[in-house]
Amino acid sequence: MFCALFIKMVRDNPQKMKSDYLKKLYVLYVFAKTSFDDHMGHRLRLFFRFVMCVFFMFVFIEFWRLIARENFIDLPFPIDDVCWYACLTQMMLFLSPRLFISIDQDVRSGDISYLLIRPISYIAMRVSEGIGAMSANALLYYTAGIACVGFYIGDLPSTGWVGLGTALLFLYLGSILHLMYQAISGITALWLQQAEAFYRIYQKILIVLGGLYMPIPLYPDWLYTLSKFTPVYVMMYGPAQFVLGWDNGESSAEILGLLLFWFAVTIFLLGWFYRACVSRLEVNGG
Amino acid sequence: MSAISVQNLSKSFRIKKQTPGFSGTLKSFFKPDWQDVTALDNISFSIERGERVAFIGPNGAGKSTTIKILSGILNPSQGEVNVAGLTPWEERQRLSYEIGTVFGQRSQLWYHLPARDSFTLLASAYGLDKDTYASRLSQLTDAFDIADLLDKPVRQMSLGQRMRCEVVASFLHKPAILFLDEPTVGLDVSAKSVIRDLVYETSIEDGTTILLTSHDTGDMERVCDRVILIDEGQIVIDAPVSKLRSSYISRKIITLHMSVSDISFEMQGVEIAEKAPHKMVLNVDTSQQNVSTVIEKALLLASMRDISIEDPPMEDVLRSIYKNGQG
Amino acid sequence: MGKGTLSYLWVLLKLNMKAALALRAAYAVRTIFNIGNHAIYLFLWVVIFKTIPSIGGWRMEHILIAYGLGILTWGLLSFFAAGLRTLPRQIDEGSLDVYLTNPRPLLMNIALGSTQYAGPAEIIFGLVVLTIAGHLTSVSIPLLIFLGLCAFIVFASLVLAYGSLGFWLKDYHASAEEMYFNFFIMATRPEAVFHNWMGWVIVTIMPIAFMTHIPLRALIDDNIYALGLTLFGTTLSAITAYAVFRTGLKRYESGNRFGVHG
Repeated sequence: MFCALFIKMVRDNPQKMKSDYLKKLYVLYVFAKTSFDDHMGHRLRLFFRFVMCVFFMFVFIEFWRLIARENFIDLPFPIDDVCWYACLTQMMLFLSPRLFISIDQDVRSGDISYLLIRPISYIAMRVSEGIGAMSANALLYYTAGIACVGFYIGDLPSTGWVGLGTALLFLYLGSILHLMYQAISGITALWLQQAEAFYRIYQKILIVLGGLYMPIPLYPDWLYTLSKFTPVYVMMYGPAQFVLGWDNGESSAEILGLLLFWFAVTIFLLGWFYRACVSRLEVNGG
Repeated sequence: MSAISVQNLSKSFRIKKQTPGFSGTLKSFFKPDWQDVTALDNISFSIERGERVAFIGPNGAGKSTTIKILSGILNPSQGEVNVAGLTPWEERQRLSYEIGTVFGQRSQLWYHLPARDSFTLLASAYGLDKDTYASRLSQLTDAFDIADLLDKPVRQMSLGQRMRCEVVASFLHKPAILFLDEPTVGLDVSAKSVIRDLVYETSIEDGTTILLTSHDTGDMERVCDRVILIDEGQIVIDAPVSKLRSSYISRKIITLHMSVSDISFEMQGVEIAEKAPHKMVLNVDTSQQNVSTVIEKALLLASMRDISIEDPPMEDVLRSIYKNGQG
Repeated sequence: MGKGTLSYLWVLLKLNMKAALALRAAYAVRTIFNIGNHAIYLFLWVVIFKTIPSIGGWRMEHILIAYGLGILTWGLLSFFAAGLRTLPRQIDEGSLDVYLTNPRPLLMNIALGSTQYAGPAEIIFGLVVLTIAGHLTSVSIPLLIFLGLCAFIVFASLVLAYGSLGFWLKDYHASAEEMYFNFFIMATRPEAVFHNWMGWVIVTIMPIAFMTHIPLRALIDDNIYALGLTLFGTTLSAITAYAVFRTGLKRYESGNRFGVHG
């Protein structure tokens, strides 16, 4: 409600905005909204990607049901909870757009030279656009996606709607952090001529230490500890663990604290890396 | 047989209409609005071998659509087209040996490699044997003065240099017909002049039929003998370039360089376009007033150091035609 | 394929290698990153199998074969057909126009017409993983390599078919890349995960079964029926992908894909 009022106030009375900082925030909101509209306009693409995500989530559910049937290990969580966990971690990967590809394209095409001279930070603009696109995805995945998963599993997680809602909220915030790391990957194109190589390494770290394939408490202790000290912990496992029961990991206050900490570190890292890479920028003239 | 023959060609596209606002976005998501757009509306023309024709028109007129249909990239909605004796969209591979293309905003050169490598690849694509390729490349290298560019990576070339290489690439296999879609876009004045002269001379020497689209009237005037003007998908004018001014505009520009600093000049059908000390530029409507009458009056008012009579620039001619629809 | 086309193909391959090596330092760094990326994924499976000894009858050696086939196909695709991966972007940018007026086969130009940035390192890494897997399971190495080629054709067909959706879907390139990565990952999942209706999906609209699962049966169980099925699936995948591409190309040619104006 406060955000909606703020946006209305700024839109109706731009001259009354005294703070440069708030003005810039509003501009970033406009970029995000434009990206949201654009994403919603490509409904066939949106739907196709959604279908793929749902299929892959079902594959994960069958993966864990197979493990549970074979009974080689004692799972410390109910199998339905593990299935919900697996779906949420998989959904996290599909929630955000492939921002690093957009940035990579800007660098390779030379368009970045025009985008750098705008009054707003290029990287902030791209991340805002990513948030807009992500919000369009969330609208679909958090409604139809959760309904499909619930239907396939047959029950809610043991933490109920509260646990699921908490997980989805933190998943959204964790995905914003993921967007920033995608941005870092994207600007490595200024150095390596292609962002994919760096992004794939980061993605594997996310998959391994974030707990995509397996809840992190099932890892060896040393790997579990290592994971806790990385930002990927609060992108994937941190949010998804709220469907594994209330006693398995951090509380919501702790996850929020960790998120804020990693947001601060990442923003600093992103800014520093961005400035370093831009100084290497080579754009051929006409 | 004509090099290019187009009969009753039409082309339509379907586009989605966007509604603004969040509710519009949601509405478009569940129930989008579609709209049919006519790009070409029943056009017909033919081009003889060796002719050089400019295909001009305002943005969105249908120029690029026409070129893409003629080169086999697009299928028409209806109509008949014959290029070098072939139907483009049905015999595209055979046609590709007969045509060359220069798309101003696309490149067929490899960005990180020297131009020579791209030429070698194209020679292989068109099945040129080693001797033919070597002799052809040598001829075009001299004609286009790209000896220094052959071993330079394309990414290090200026736009003008790159375009010269693009045109060489399109001439390499000695095509019967060359399609140029905005070939001088983004080039400076001297680079444009070089490209125009080279395309003109090479087409004369090889007997290449040229179809060129451009917004630049200089391309039209320097390279082509004939102009087809298209607007909103229909052919508005099909005439020799030389006749365009005389048939479609009735104006002359007279520049007076006077020995006195100023004169008062009033005459029906004459408008003062520019005034400066010792200089006056007059726009004369030749349908109302004779040029010789205007000059006689000027000489009566003051002695003249110099008088020049010019046709209005081609841009003004075209602007007038676009404004009036059919001229 | 005529002699002229073969010599054109050879020139294309040479040019690709030359263009990739034009930026040597970046190429070397990318190669190291790519290999590191694959090594991390294998490490993940080591961790999983330390916790869960078997999944649907699959153990670490099965994963090594499946993943080795996967890396090999990814490397072969990156070297011989990387342009297929960027097909959606080429469609969006209208880059097909230049290829459509070229006398050589359109798909060849699309696949190889732009610079490849990877491939050889992954091909070698894939062969190393397969050799280790072959040594562990005592399967025939030549048969393994042959099935690797079949897996490449299936994966290339998948990439072509799903990339061709770019004729219908705008700004699809990034989503397509995501699909390819997920197909590659799904192909390394134990076959038993895909039962009932999912089993049908992975032999029809997403034929990853012909990439790894069925070839694995041919390799480890010496199942001649599985070998025949692999060949059948490879052929069918290629034909279907080509049909999807040709259908999409008609849409490009109709102009409704991107609305040509001017």
